[in-house]
Amino acid sequence: MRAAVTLLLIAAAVVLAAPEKGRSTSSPPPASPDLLYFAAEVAADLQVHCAGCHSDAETAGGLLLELFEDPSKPAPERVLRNFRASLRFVDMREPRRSPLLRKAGGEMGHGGGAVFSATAKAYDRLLYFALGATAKNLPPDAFARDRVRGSVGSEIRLDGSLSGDPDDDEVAYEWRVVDGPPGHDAALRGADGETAVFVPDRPGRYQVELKVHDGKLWSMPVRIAVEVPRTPDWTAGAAHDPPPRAGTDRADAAPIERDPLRSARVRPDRVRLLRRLCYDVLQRGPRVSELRAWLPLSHEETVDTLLRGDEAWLTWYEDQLYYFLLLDRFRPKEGPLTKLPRKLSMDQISVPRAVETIVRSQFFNARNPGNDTFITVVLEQCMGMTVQERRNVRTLELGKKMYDGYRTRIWREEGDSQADFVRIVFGQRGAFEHLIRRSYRSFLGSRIDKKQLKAEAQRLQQDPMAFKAMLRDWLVSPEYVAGAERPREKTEIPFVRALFVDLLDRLPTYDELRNVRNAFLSLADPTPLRLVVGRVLLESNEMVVPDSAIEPRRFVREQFLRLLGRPPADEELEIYIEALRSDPKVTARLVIWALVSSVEYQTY
Amino acid sequence: MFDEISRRRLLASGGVAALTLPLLSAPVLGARKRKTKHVIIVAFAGGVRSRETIGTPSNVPNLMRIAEKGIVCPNVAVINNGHFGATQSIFTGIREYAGIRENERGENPTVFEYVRKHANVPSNLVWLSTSGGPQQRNLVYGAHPEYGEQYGANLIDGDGIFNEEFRRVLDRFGRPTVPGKDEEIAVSKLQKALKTPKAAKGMNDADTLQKIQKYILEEITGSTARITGPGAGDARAISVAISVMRIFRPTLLGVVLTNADIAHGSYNAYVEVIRRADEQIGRLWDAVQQDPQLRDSTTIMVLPEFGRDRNLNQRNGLDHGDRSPDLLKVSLVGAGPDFKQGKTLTKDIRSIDACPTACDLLGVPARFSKGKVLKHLYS
Repeated sequence: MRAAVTLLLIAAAVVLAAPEKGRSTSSPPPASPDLLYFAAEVAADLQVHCAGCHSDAETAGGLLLELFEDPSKPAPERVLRNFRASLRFVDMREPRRSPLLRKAGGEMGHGGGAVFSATAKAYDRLLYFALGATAKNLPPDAFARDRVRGSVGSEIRLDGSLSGDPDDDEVAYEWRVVDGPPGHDAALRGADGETAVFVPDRPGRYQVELKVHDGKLWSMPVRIAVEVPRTPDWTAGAAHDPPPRAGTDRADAAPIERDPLRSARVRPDRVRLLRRLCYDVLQRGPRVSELRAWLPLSHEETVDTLLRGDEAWLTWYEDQLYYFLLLDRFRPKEGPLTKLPRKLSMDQISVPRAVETIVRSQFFNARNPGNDTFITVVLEQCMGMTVQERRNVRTLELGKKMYDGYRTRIWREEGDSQADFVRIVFGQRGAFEHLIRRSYRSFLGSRIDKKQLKAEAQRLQQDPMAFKAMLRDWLVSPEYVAGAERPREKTEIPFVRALFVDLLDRLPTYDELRNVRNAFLSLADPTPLRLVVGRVLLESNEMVVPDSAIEPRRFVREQFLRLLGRPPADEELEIYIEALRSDPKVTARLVIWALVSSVEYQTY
Repeated sequence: MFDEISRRRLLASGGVAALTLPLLSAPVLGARKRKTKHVIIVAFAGGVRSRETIGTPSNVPNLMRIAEKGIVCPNVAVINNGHFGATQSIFTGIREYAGIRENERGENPTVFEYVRKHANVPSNLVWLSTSGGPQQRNLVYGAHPEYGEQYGANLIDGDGIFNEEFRRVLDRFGRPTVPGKDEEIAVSKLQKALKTPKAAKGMNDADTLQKIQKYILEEITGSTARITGPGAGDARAISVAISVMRIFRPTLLGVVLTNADIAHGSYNAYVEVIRRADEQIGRLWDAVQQDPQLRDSTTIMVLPEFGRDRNLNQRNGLDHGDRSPDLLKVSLVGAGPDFKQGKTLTKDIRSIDACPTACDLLGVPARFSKGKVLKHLYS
């Protein structure tokens, strides 16, 4: 084994490919593929996926590979020969266009079809190889939004700040305009900066490219499509399209080029805020795919995306049922109430009206039987009144009369039924104030200022549909953003939902949520039970454990980001990676368990 | 006030023997060294009238059995401020106005906090066993700045945890393995590497957490999870209370029953719940009597948070809102080494007196309670 390593080291010293000539003198040249990286990361993949055909001269095409007798201990000379054979299929000017990659990915004529998908780890390793990765240095990642819109003469800010390097090296930026409408002379300022300013001079479609360099290697380029319509038909909101969809250029879609999670420059405060927002709106932590999609967005865009989704309103609805204790046999299983979340996300009903609908339902009535209980609960839960206080006793008694069918006047309005009482309550400013008060507290974890409460209640009473806009304002407010710095305890429902999403990548069913939640709520100190349930899910067949062996650094970073809502500190990262490499007890599952059972996981 | 007819009925039945028992061995008045080392407070909540308990002794033979050994106070004033607020009042010794669906900590310290703080009692010796759902967690400690979580009681709501549904969840995913020594070391190493700010000290120490975890895992598959039928929640709460007495021998144990509120929809079911709860209270009492460490040093007090209306509603059930004596006067049954024996004490008292009395029995002050120590119950 030592001989093999020595031979490889000697071989590595040999210059196998001349650096590219004739490029811009200001840009470092592309790096040559590295033999040690090939031996450590690529050779085995080629054995498994390619050598079957490519070791036979008749089926090998131009790529003739040696078969390893013992794949766990390949002969060094065979590795070297395979390296040389592979090199001939690498395009160092445009690594992504290398035949080795395009054939393996099935993009160009290949007898064996697609052997690696563009999302497979093996494909990533092959691409890294083409980019010149070494055992000590992986290529950096360029990242920018793939599509923006602007108008002629406007300054369009292109942001590459999420680019980074998996080895945490500093990166240099290079922006350039690679395409545009005929005759254009668009300006690009700050072409070597983290952000650049693009000023189109005529309508049409432009392509701007960003590459970053870590001092040794170039990243794959990413391209930003800049659309400049003839007549501006977009709004400020439409100017920030969501991330790209299927059907875009495959080079753009390759995951390693546009994965913001891989960037060493992911801002901890941004991740923390995203996580806080996700917990407050969806009562669970974000999935990795969601972090990827949301990180490039601004905070305001993320709030909008979340509030547009059905899940936010389904969560809100369940929260209201819990608030009114419409649980178990009192929980509606079908009928109009169950359609409320969809109606809310479609703006077909206002939030105050939805609350009133719940209170008018047969389920609420059954939960609160009798005049005393019903009137008390409506006054307490919908108006925030302390019914037993002397000054409110008269209201209670009048409400009970109205409930019982006597013509009665409350707050200058007359009624003679239970329904009348609910109608009168929901017309009061106090009902709007109480809804705002409890919503604010639920989302922001603090009490709303009295002045703000009055103003918001007035606004909501005039336009009940304004609740969503009001909620948006709260969530984008500086107070909310600043509040994300202070951890909040996970209460039982978010804890259960998060545990399922974090470990099983799915939300719990209602029964699962109910049963686990009730069990947690059954203890003053639920810590022991939280650990039991966490372990039950962790060891279940449903748990899908990511492969940490392929890229421990990436794996550890992702687990910290999704489970703790922050990137690991350098020291943490090194300890975790070292443990994964050297301690046979430390598996991917164990790392996840260590994080999920930590004190930090109990907060968000 | 409890009317004379009812009192006569009580005397005519189970109460007779109790009341005629001479108290020859009563200690000298004024010697206030208490024999009580353990207190159990059972909030027979959910709204229970005296008519169906001491007013109909055949419904509650076990309560009457306890009364024979102790005292009955038929004139306990309460306020109808919702189940939760009224129950909270028993444990804080203050009239609480928390809403019916209130799910937040009260402002006042509870009897649990007084005992833990002033008698320096660890968390594993102060417990609350309930069947009332999430609200009940707010009973174990309040938000008072001088007390709070660090002096809170441990709580188990048997209805929420020891049931078929939760057991099925565990069965569906499979039972967890117990981590080996190597794994514990590896996890500990990884967790120590985390740059997390030090967390506040939790309610329980590691040993207590382990005992609770072990008990939970055993009980999930045990008999408590199989209790079903009307009043099953209350039966579970008492079953858990019995286990807690056996395992931890707590200084203070609260039990909150709630199933009697079924009365809104059915009078008959309400009576059935009372009968079943009485049976369970009898089991709890017997468990104490059979334990030599507890028998002569445990005081029990059983009282509802309020009663119910005088008349049946349209559903042939009983609501609670007519402000009648049936609603606002309940009875307290108690027994213990410091209490008189076989006495019915008709003096007007209040449900909020239970808290300071329990504290007095255990030798601690109920500093913020508005109730009075019921010294006339003492022998």
